[in-house]
Amino acid sequence: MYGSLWLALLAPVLFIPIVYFLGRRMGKLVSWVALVPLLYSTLYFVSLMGGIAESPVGEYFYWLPGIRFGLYADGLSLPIVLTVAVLSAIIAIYSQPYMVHSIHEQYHQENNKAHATYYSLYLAYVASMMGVVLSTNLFEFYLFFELMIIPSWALINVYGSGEREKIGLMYLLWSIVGAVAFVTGALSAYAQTGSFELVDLVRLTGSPWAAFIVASMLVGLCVKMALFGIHIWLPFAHAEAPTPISALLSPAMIGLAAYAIVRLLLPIQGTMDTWFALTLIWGLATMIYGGLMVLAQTDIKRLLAYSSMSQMGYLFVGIASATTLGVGGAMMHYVSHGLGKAALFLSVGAIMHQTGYRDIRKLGGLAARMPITAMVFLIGAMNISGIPPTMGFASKLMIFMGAFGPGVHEISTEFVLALVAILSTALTIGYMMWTMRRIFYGPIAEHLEDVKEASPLMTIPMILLCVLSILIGIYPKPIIDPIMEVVARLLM
Amino acid sequence: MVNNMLFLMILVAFLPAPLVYLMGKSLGKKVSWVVFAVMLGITVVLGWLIPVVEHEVLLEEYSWVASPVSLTFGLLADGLSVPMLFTFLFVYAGATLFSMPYMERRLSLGDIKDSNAQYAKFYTLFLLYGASVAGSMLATNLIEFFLFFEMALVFSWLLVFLYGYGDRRRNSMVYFIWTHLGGGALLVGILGVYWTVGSFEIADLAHIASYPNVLWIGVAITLGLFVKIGALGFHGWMPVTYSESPAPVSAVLGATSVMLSTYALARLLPPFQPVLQGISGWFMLWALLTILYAGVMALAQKDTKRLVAYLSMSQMNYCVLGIFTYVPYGVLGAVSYSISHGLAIGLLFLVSGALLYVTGTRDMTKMGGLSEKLPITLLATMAGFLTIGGVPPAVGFKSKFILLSGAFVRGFSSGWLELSVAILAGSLATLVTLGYEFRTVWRVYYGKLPEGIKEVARVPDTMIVAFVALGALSIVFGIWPALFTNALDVFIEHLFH
Repeated sequence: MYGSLWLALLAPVLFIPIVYFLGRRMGKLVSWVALVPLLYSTLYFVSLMGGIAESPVGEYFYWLPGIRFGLYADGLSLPIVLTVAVLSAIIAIYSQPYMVHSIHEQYHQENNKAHATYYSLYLAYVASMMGVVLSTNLFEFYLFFELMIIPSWALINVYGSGEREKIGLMYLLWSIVGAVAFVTGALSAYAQTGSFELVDLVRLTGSPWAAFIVASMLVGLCVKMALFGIHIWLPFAHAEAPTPISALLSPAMIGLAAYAIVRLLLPIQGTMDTWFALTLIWGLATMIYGGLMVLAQTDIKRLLAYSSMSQMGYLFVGIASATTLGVGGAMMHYVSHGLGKAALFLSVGAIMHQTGYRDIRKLGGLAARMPITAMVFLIGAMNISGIPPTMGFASKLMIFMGAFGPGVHEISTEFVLALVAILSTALTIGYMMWTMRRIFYGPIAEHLEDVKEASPLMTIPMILLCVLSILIGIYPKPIIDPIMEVVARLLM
Repeated sequence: MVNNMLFLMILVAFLPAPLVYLMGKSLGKKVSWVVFAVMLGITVVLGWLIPVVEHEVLLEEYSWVASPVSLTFGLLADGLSVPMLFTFLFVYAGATLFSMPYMERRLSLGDIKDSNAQYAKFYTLFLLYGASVAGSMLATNLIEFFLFFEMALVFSWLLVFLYGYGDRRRNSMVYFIWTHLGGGALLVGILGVYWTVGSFEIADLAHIASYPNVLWIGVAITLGLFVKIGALGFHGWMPVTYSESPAPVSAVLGATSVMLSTYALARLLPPFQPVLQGISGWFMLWALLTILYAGVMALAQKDTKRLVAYLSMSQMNYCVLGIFTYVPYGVLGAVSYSISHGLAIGLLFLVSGALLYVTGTRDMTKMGGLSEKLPITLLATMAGFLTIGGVPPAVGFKSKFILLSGAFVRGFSSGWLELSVAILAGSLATLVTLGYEFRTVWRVYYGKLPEGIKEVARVPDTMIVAFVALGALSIVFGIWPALFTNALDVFIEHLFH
């Protein structure tokens, strides 16, 4: 297919002014215009999938004295960036009916400008996420990483619910704290290696500063991943963002931090791998705390937010193991969590859209009224709980195989921790199925008697997500193989 | 290319002054268009020169004084002066445009007689001030530099004195005394150079470090410029002058402070590296303390212009930090950061002026909920804040990142002092910056619209054009920094061989 990485990255950016000006005339229909560049990027990335393992694609441009602007897609970054592109294209379609409703609720009238601004910010947000994945040097990476914060903050701030302005600010400040920690490590790395290139980070191996550098970058990235202790912003931001944005924020964006840890920090020997027990405990704490908090929620979006936090714990456990299987599994789980969590958020959005309620105690028995939504929710739940035939099964299995790797030969701390990790997945299955029952089964409440299934513009994107996760679940080879190859090389 | 182009440029800047005065007497405020045309014309020529100086240096020399010392009146356009002057005059042209409705309002306040003569005087001084700054950025010898530098001080003092707010006589006196103390220190340094190397030519500074006892000369020049850039302890004049000047004057004063001082630091101080290297870590620390002090002060302000003044003082000292790292990226970052800061501070002072124009107050506690009423002004504020705070996609992000990477390189190669400065400048100072920026946006634009300002006037179109132009340049430079960094890089390469 004709195209190049820079065009795939630039297409959404170029469409921002077009979408904005057309949107002021077209209103909600501009979502179809916004879909054009997203589809282009998606199709271009798909066309690369075939031969990516053998021939990675790199494009470099002169940018600043001594620094080039590079874009690089290999077996690891391509599946990740493809996930971002697919999710954003699917969610753009879903956004149309959802945002009509939510903009109407906010302004009590048609507001074309609100649609125009929404889709412009949406494109900016997606482009910066793709930039994070494709970037080749620390400067560029940090640029896109910071850039991501601004449109997402604006989206929460303008279109969110509840105390959206306060929560937007909180999101912003936490993100910046993370960015600052990250940049301290990144600049120190530059001072030590004399290069901003990501591939040169490996030169830090053996440096006396390696521990400091890795630790500060790790903390910066883990704020974004909302690991236990620095997760405060996540439940608020993800619960109050407009639902389509939650579906991007939650799995796609925060997981990028996991990708960054793999790409940037794991190749530096003698740091992450030596702290295995420590990072494993941190991952476990996140997993279990997030899971328990899910059980305590009554708000369906907040519930999903905590579940995202818990799933980030899984990703982190896989990465912490520093084994090919564990890390590869974590990256696979990025994809399956992306598809699964997006499906969950979209189905919850459909429920809110159709019933007007988000309090779980007011819901019940909806399976008969909204069968497609119920089905999607179930498949999403299976996906993040790791139940076949969804792809979550493969990814979770790999994470656990990896986590057992380092400590299986003796009864060590690591072994016990890995065991705890496996047992705690029962928690995910438990909370997902219990939530399923609370929303969709049981007697239907009187005020829900007249509820109907959501419009096709909402259900078709939801179904697409489920189809994808099952297809990849049945035949994961095209994604697993390239990921494993790159991960093996990074860990060497 | 025209042979005497730079000389013509200076002539074009200075010569219309009497004309502006005479025309102003009959034309009144319309004479501002003449000043605007002059500034815009020179800006366009400089913009066209940026790619030229990537390959060659333009030097013009005219015989000036033969005895007792031989002085040439030289003009130099190279990778340092052209991008800086281009941006400065771009801001200047924007401020001129902005001043049209603003000065009309200022002169109608009643404390100054509103007459055509006032417009004539204001725009004559405004033109001369810009022209003097342009002269000092092109000068090739220290006497010429100092002459233009002092002229700029006098014209700006008159602008504050005649058109300021509040107790403008006292404020302008504070400004005059402080800046002349700085000028005095600078002059001592300049004379020291002459006694040491026997010439006033900046080019002859190159080998000054090979002479004995030159440390004090470097320190004198540094301290002289520290007054201009508002380093902690030398900043007494800055918040008052900035906040009590008319907004277009504050904008160009702010841009001058950061750009002219950084220009001079980058032009004059690198030859002193061998002698200053030892104490440069302390200058870095000084800059950091200024950044933090002014940042905390900014958090405590209620007055929009006072806030921008502290914010500017805080951020422009990053340039000092960068220059004294004495590593290529540090200096490159400092100069780029001063370019982005000049743009942003110009923009922010204009925004605060527009807020005063439409709401009649500078008190942030009396504002709120303006986002609906003033969407473009909100965008301009954000563009200014993002540039100054170093947030992408504005140009401030790149320059600050480059500057900080220079600081980290210096930190890891020097010692604990430099390293701690680098780390704190990258972390704590960034947080303080973003803290006050978002607090301001919050206060002014969100929340409830107070009763007192329910009827908000429209922001005039000329103001909007100025906002959009400055904001757009920041974004264009941000996305495509090579537009000016290529030229700068030639200068930096030459500096560090």
